[in-house]
Amino acid sequence: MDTTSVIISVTTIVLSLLVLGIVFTVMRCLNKEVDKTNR
Amino acid sequence: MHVIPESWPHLHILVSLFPLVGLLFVLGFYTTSIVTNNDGLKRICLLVLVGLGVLSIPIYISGMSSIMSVSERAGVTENLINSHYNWSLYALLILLLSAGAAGYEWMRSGNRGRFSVNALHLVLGLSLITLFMMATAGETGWRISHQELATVRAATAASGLPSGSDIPEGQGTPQAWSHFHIILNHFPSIGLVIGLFFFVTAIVADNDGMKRASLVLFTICGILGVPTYVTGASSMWALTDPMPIQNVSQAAINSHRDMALWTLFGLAATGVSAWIELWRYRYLNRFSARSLYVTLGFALITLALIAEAGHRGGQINHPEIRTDPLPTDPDAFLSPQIELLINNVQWFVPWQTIHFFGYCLIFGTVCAVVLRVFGIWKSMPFSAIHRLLPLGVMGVVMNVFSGMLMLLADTFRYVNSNAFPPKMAFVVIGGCAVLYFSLSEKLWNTKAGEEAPMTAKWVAGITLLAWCGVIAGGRLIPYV
Repeated sequence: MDTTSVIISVTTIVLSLLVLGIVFTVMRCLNKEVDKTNR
Repeated sequence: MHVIPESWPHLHILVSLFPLVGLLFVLGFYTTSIVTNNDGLKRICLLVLVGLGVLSIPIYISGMSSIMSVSERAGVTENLINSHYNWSLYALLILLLSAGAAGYEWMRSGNRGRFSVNALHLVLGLSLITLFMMATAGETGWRISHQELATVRAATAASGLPSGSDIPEGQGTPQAWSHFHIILNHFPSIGLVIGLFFFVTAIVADNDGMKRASLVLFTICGILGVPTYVTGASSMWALTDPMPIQNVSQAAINSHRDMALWTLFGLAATGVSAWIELWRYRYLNRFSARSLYVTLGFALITLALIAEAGHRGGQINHPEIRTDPLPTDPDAFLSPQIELLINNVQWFVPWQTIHFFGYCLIFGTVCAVVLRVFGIWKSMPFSAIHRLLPLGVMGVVMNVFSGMLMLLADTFRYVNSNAFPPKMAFVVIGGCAVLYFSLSEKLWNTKAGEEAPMTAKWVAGITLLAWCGVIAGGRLIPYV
């Protein structure tokens, strides 16, 4: 693999993990109060 | 921020939009008040309709005072001015009549303590006629200031040209996009002003129905931000390629594009925070004051951004309102630098991957909603499926952000692909459909084992087709 391929792969993986983390954090925050109220 | 008009034509352009685009949104609130029988909202709507009627005075005075300055522009004929004058005069008279009826019902209902259904319907009917007359007057007015709309470019004249990746720059982009952008850009801007007025009034009056209606409008403005930005990119090419139209400068366009990009993100933040509050209201049966103020903060910041974006956009092709010298260096702005950056494969591919993640979230959520509404997951209450909706909305946010960055990589080929305009139309349809699943009372009350309402089935079918169209359209962009 050349340098460009390494940079693209690393950036893609890091960005994907970051977005995945954001999605789960937002869902956790949104559902916390809802779950508490509807328990 | 430039919000204070500095000349008669400038005042005319600003104020005349309210009884046209503003009236459409006010009628949305008014119809909601009648359907939900919300008396507080009815009274505010009647008062706003009176206010729109009062605007007919500055509209008429500024219009008459603008005739001299616009008649000096090339291509502006006496017939064009007369046509706009006549349509506007009739439109303003009907507007005054609607405002009079609204004012009378406002006073009468205040004295008697109840509304007359016939009077409410009369105001609605007169307002709808006003809307039609105003739209015609607006169209004739835009033709005065936007002579470029009549320009026929090579691509428009010769149909059947290859599109997508085969189009070389220099063949021209149809002026229909400029026309579409001129109309469309006023919807999120005026919608935000009207939405803010009703939202602040709702917080002060503590009217939950009005709060919900305002949050819906903020969400719609957020959705409309996407086609507005995209048609803006198309207009840029229509105005500058192969040769810039007279008096149009690329530097002025880039200055507008920078602010439009910030506005797009502001509209997305306002729309999403508003939608989240609508979603939470279903479970909590109350609004969180803190969340409402967060939405208010986003809306106020976006209003400042959109006012500046609108002002810079107006400078592009309204020489009669220019007071400051226009920028001259087209490379001195952020958008060309983002274009350079995202055009590099090292940035394009990671953002494209995020775009595909977004599609997965949206399509997965849509499939779950469709399975329940069509009765395939009948043993689940709809409220269980409702919990999934934020996943779909997050997918939309991811795709708006990554999609706009990808668009900047090669705007010319995207906007001239035959697959791109239907894709954008499907995005708007699919986005608005999400509002139905968030708001429908009947659907929310569909318990386990119960059949979903027929309207929900139709909306679910349209939503599924719309998002299939978005995915297929996106994939077809390089080929058709």
